[in-house]
Amino acid sequence: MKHRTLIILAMAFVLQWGVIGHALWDHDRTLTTGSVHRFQVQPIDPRDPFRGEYVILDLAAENVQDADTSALFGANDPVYGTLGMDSSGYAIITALSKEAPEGDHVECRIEAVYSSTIRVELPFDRYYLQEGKGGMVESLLDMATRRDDQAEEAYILVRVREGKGVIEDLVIGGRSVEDHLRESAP
Amino acid sequence: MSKAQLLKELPELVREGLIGEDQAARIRERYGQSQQDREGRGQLLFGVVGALLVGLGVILVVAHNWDELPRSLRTILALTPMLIGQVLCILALRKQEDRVALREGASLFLAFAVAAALSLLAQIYHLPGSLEGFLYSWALLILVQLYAMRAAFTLMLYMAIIAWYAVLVRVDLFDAGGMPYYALLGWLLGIPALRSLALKNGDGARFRWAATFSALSLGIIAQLFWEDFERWHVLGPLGLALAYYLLPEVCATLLAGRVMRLGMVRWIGRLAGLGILFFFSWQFPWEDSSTSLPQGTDLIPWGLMIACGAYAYALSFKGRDLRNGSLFPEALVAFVLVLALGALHTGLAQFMTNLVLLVLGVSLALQGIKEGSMGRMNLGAAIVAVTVLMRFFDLDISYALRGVIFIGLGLAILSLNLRMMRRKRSHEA
Repeated sequence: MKHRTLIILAMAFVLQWGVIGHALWDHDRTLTTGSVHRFQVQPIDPRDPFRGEYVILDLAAENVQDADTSALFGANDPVYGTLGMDSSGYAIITALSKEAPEGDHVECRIEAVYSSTIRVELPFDRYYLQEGKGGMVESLLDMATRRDDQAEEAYILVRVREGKGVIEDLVIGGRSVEDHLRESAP
Repeated sequence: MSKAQLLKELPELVREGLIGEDQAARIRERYGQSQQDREGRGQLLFGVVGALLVGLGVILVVAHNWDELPRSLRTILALTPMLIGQVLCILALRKQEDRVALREGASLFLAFAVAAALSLLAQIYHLPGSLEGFLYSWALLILVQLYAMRAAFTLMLYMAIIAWYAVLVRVDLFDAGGMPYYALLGWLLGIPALRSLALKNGDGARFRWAATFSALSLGIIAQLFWEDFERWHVLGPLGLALAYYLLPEVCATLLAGRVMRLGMVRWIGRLAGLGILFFFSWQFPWEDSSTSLPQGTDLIPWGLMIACGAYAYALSFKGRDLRNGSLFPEALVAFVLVLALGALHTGLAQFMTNLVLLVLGVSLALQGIKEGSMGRMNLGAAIVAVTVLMRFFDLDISYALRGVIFIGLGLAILSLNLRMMRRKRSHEA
């Protein structure tokens, strides 16, 4: 093998391991050391040819109420959302800024700016499931989110660290989705 | 006599003493492949198909998402195929660099293993992100290995991924005005790998396929930049079709002495050019489109594609035998004048487009008869037949007359083929 070829091949491997390894390490650290937040969800069930089945999570926190729309935010702008909690204990974004704020925050992107509301895109909007279970989870989420009782609502547990968020669990009616699926397994 | 027949007859000719062993070997070298080449091709086919099946299998297994397995085990499973692929690549280069099948197979397997690792990473951590983002990340992660492995099939996969990405960007971000600029960049990043293949083995089957995929990929990407598409816009695709058609001549001029076979690139250009001419042989494209010139961002792809066509035409003009060569490039150039005429009189422009097609078809058929090429003769006859048949739909002709024309065309094509076959037989006899 020529010396030059070896160097190019080594560069390819370093790139492959570097990108995939860094992503693994970063998300794993967030999942193990990040602070926990609950985000209320609404579901949809699509499929990806490579990554398989998942449910899209439409998060209530993506609508930032009473936001300062004078801060010249435009669609697709990257911003930081400061995390707070509403009266029911769910995570909400209390403020948006272009600089990273103190305390727990997430990196997000502006989707649309309305008169007093800003719609943002949070960096966690899907929950992957084993093949064939997407439809079941979607109906579980449908039933849960239709009820008036707050305790039965659905939410995701998200670990947040240095602006990054990783989903730890999807909770429906107070129980992990994995428990629901285990219970319904033949 | 076909190449295969000639090669088959060689032992008989040697036995009869008509040619010597030396001459037979030289004929084999000129027209055929050696036994070793044939075996190599078989190994290559099995190597590539094997890697493709295993790689796709890994993707499907991964897409199942085994959520009952612990996270650590899934992480190991995500990375193991990639590690195996990398080890195979090292082995392919270190031990048997000349074994193309092993190199192609290992590289293709690694490419799919990288996709599997990215997919599992997304599943384990529930990462967001569109399919186009996934495809582009995958393409970039396999780009560098292309250069080290000189792997034509991975390059084809790369070109296909880039084209897929470009289509998704245009479809998904259409309302937001998204343009696949990064696809163009990705395509350009793959071209040095194609050039490297051309320099190493420009007349090989691997290069031919890689060139065909690259041409198709660019042909698709280039059409995704239009914000609007009016009559004059067609000069862009027409320029690219002309450039593809003339690429063999351009390469022969630029790389004097180097043998290069460009696979189906010329056919892509031919089909695209004919498609445009057939399209404008109808009445509606002339009446339903405006004559406004491209504006704004449309000007960039439009100008680039026209420049490619003009450059190829100018460069190949001297080297081409206009009397005996195909008039296809001239037909496309003549259509540019017809387009200009369309600004004054659309009916006349439509008539002239049909005339260009008929002249092209007849000239190709005559040339085919003269050279004894059935393929060229039938292509010419097919162009004439399709042009005439299409007119049945926009002209008010009685069914009886249509029937007579059908019969006439069919008989003409059959008799041309029969005459050509008789002539060939008499030559062989």
